[in-house]
Amino acid sequence: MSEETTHFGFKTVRSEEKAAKVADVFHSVAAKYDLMNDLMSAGIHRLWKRVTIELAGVRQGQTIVDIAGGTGDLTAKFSRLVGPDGTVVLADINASMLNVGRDKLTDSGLIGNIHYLQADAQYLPLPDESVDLITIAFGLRNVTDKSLALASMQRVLKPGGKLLVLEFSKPTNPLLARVYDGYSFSVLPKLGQLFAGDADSYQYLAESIRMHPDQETLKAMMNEAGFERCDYQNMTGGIVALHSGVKPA
Amino acid sequence: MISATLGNFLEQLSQTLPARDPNGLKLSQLAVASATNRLQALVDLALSEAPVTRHQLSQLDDGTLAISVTEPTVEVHLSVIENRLNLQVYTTQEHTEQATRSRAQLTGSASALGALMGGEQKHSFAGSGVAATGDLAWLGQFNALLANIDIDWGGILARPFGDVAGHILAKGAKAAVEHGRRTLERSATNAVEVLQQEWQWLPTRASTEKFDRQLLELRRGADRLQAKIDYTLRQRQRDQSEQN
Repeated sequence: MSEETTHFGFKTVRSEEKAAKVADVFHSVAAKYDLMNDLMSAGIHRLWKRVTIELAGVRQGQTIVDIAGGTGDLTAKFSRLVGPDGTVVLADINASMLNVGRDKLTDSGLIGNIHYLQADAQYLPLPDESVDLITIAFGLRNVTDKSLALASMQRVLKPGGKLLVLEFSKPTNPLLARVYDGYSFSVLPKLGQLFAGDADSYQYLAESIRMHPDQETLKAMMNEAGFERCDYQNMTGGIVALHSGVKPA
Repeated sequence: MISATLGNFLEQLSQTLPARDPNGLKLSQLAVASATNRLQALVDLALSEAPVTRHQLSQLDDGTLAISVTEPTVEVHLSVIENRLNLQVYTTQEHTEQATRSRAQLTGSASALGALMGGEQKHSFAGSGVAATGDLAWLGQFNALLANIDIDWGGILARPFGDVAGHILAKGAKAAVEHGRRTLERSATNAVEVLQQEWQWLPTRASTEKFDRQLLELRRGADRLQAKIDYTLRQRQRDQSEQN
């Protein structure tokens, strides 16, 4: 693949087109995003996020950025954990997702320490060394240039700050991989069509997961971006992996 | 042929069965993180009801006290940030570099550190089995602050139960904690006494060794007797067969 092209699912598109195409997908699914997450994962995504929150080790007064925060699942929890002296920034490139997240959090009474930011993860509009923790849950695979995004995150983290990447990955068991493939390409688009009226977006979801770097590759990319103590933990047999890295102090 | 096919099938099956994933969820790490988060929530709750301690914390210079437990290997970081106290627990060696950057360090075994923290306030670490390094003046101020922490339990309990019930519950809880502490101390003393008394009834090392030697001699004597009986029986059988 040349430098000017990138993946959009299994298709190869020009780099500058990917963001718009991904935006179309999420504009389309934003309204039913939470419902579809529960349906597609049978609710397990809540456990994956719970593990992420526990391992984040958030403390009062910290500044946290939840990139590709979508409908604000992680932000809601972080907002309570950092308390009134802390700050949580819910960042998403997609205005529709951000609107859904903002409405949901405001309706839950979570106001005061949450800020909303429509931003591209590759070019975070935040000062250097200003953030204690960055999380990006199920968002990195949609980013056009992942290395650029990781470098941008590394820049805004304070020394000793932590990055947590929760993302679909490669199942470690061949049998599970076969079952998962069948589910992703046969059941997922049909679920999307049935409940969200959009099969194409969920077809893209399945394809984008397959094109995302596997566990070891992403770990190497984090190392290259300047993170240290990079590690990952597989969940649900590697369907999802939680990568972590720390900015050198 | 059949066994080869079966073996092939079993091999293929074993490859598809889930093996232990070395990169699977590290449950011990998750458990430590969860426990630390819950403990931090308790510290936050306690500080929210201890305005004097919060004020004293804000007067104290920011810094981290690293408590390195040698057995088992655990590192606890208590960080003073403005008027907050942040807690982190690490079980790996990777945080040693952070410990060296901390303002003060306490190093010792779990029992030595536990005895230091659970016992009376001490003015010296000499003979305690705990080594203290770094900014000891800051450590002294931090220690005094923690020792004098005064949590308004009545205030905490008044919120869900009301003022009167909260006051009664707090009084009861304080009495229960005090009773528990005394019982624990008494239990420890009693346990030591029981051990000392029972110890007197146990045989000494010399008498155990003597008994062991006597037992060995008895076993050898029994073996010799058995051999003699066997020999006599064989001799008798031989005599009888010659007579016949």
